[in-house]
Amino acid sequence: MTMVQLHYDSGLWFFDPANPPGGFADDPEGALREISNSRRVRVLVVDDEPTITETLVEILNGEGFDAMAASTGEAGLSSLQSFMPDVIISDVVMPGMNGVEFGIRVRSLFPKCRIILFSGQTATVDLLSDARKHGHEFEIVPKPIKPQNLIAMIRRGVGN
Amino acid sequence: MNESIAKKLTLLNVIASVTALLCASAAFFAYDWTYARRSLLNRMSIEAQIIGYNCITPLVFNDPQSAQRTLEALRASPHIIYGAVYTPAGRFFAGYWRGAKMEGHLLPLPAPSQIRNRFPFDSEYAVVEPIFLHDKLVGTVYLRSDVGELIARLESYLTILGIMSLVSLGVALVVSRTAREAISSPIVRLAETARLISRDNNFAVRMEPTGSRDEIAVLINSFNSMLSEIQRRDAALQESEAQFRTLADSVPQLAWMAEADGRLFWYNQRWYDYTGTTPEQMLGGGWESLHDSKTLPDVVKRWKASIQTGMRFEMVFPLRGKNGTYRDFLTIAAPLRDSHGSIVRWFGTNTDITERRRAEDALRESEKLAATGRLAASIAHEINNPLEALANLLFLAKRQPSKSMNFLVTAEQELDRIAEITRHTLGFYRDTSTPVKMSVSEIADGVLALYDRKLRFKKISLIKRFSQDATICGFPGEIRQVLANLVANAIEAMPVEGRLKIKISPAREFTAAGRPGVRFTILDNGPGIASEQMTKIFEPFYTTKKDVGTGLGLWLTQNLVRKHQGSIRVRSAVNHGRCGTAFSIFFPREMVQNEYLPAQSRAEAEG
Repeated sequence: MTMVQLHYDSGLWFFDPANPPGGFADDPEGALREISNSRRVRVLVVDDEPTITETLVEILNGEGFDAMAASTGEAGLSSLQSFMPDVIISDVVMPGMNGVEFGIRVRSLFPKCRIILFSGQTATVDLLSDARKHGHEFEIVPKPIKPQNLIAMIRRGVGN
Repeated sequence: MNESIAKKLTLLNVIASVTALLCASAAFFAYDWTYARRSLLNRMSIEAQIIGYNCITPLVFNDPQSAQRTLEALRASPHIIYGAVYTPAGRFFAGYWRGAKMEGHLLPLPAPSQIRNRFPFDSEYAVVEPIFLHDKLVGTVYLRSDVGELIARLESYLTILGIMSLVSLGVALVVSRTAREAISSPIVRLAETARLISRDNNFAVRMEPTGSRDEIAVLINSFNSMLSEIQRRDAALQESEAQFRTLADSVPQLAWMAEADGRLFWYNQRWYDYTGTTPEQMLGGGWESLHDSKTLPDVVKRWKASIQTGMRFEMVFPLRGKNGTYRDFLTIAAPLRDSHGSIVRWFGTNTDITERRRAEDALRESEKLAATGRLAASIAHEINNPLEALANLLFLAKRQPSKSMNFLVTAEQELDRIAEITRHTLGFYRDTSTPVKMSVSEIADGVLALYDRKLRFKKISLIKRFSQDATICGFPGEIRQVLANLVANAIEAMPVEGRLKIKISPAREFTAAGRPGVRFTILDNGPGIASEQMTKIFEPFYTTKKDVGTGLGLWLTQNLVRKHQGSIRVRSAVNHGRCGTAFSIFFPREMVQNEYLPAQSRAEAEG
């Protein structure tokens, strides 16, 4: 069993910056299994469409996840510390910070966090290939995606 | 005075010498004449006194024969023609006559006042001399003399004068000939040279120096150096002309020159190369034959207007090449003015813009495609988002039958949104080949529906003033693109909670023609456009949004407006607290069939 380098304080999980959570990078699935054993998988949904975030949060909560919504990348970043998501599902084309930029920022702060981008338009391809040039690979799913497929995809990553 | 300088000089010489001679002669003559007359009268007086002295005794003793003998002595003086002695009572006593003709002819003793002795009024001179003995008058001598002596003297004088005149005349002629050699002949040669130069335009001729150092030599030197200066200037002129020709032949444009009255008189080599004409064919308005008959009247009209007003000529028109095909040329002609500002000639160039036009068309096409692509992407986003929401809502409705009603109502709203977007956006892909009648307000509504989400997101308040009878003829897809470009620009420029005003109304154009049509005005309260950017915003590839814009949006907008024969105006203010930009587009109600309508765009900046 891998050590979980997070500490729990007043109902919130923190990670210690002095001890980077390299263990997750070595064995992310193991880490997630550990988390899933201890608590529900946390999913952050970022999209500028309120209908999408509201429905997805409701669906995911109904499926046994702990889901939370953010309407922009900036809002998503500020909730990272408190929410500590295991998985982030983010729209790509958003006002302000776009999904790829948001994903890169999250990676630099929480390398263990799984990031799934979902996008409704082809312009995303350019953003992704730009990101790839800088060494950033993201999982990408097209919009619209059936909720059961999205759930299956999240679960696949969690293991079992 | 049409005489030559040589003749004038000779005449002057002769007149001067003859006049001098005559004056001198007249003075001598007058002096000599006076002297001769006086000496004649003196001699007569002395002779009369001698006769009187010798006749005292005969008078006292009343012996006329003795007196007669004394008088006979007058024979020695040939000029005396009459001599007589009278008694104090005035009675004739004794007499002498020369020649028999006057023999015995007695003359009365004249009173002294009657004696004047003036030649030539008196043909004879008279002397009356009283004879005294012991202060008692005993008789009077009366002598008369002819003036033959004086006449002879006069004759000899005139002879001498004649000879002297002839001699001096000869001398004057010789002197004047010498003077002519020295003075007038170089001047004559100078005149001859000048005549030769002006006749042959040969400035290489030079005058031989005379060898002397007088004013004539100075004149000849100056003349020669003037010729050298003219030659030097000619050479410089020819060189600059050659440079100009070389330059004019090496520019890629066709070039030409016209007189101030508009007659074209010179063309560069490229003109002849392109048109396949000869200089002879271009004489007298030959250029008109190279024009399309459709555009020629307009070209001639505007050319004449330029010549009348002196305004620069600028126009695009086709010119026929030697292979018979027409190519489009941008023609610019500017007047060359002299120091007084009056036009000396016109210099014009024709630039082949066919390739440029093709490239611009291609660019326009590709930008239209790119714009369509961007539009398609944003449409995909607009549709896929509600589809995603729809999928989620249906999933939830199935999972939570108790709450399914709420989910289905929301799902219906999402479906309506999809339907709305497709209805408005499909027009972007469907365009007609001929202009159709359309409502600008309806198109604007469709465009705003597309940007509804962005407007809501930025919390922009929209003020619409749409007139419902604002209809024009045109291409709906292109008008939609124009409006979409301006709306997108305005939204991007505006801050959160900005105000966007859009007005559409029937209007007339702000020009003399005042065509009827529709004016679309969009006003944002963004930061405004600085005046130095204002001139560039319609240029292709000019962008202030490097990462998101292609810099072709406004350029394409202007092109589309131009295609609809409309005009576009921009006003912008960058003042803090009172900033914003207003684009105003006028679309004419009907388009006129004319390819060569000039472009109309104006950009203004407000302080």
